[in-house]
Amino acid sequence: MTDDGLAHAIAERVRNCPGVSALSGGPYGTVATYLPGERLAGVAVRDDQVEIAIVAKGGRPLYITADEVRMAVAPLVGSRPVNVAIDDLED
Amino acid sequence: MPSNSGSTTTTVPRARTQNDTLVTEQGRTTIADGVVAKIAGLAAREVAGVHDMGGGAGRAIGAMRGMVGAERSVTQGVQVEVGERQAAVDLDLIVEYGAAIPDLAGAVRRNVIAAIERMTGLEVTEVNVNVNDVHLPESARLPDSSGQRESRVQ
Repeated sequence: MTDDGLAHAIAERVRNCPGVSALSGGPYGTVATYLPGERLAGVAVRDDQVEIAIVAKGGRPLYITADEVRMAVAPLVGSRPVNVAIDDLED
Repeated sequence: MPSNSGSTTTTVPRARTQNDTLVTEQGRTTIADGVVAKIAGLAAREVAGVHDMGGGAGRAIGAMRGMVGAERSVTQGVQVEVGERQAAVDLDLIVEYGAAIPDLAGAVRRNVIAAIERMTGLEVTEVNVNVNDVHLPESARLPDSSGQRESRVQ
């Protein structure tokens, strides 16, 4: 899979996690993938790690949400660690 | 450590250390300060006897935001420091008149610790409770002296 496709596939899987309200830009909007004609906020695929930033839903443990995100994208990312940042809680 | 002014010394159950909940071999989970502050603010307000939160300036700004229709912030009166595995919380409370403040502070502390630890997996190292003001019920206010009292005789 190309890097563009990979970032989109990761974003799709993250959005479908039950505890995730939305993808977030991360601190200063730095968690993003730059694609032709588009900036995909909330997913950054790097050589040594994958960063994902989300707005979580409240009412459930956030570390479980983070683990679900990690498990959802694990098949796509190989051996790279998936670092999940929870930037905000849905009101 | 922060000064103890206004803090009470109710003991809290020692937090368990969960070393690998957030920092795993498959990657780290980081939780933003604002998330912990929201959880702490909601948990503190849940406790009966807490009238409002915040210091003088924060409350004045909050009241103004309320007047112009902006949402009042749930994080008012909450300061947090969040590390990789631990968090510390400072709270500014306005309590209802008649609340036993040490008991109330203990209850707030327990609720805030339980909420943060359950929801985030962070260990809470301390919750400093600062009681800024006491909210008086209407009946306990002094009669106002502006001359608009009802006449005593008819």
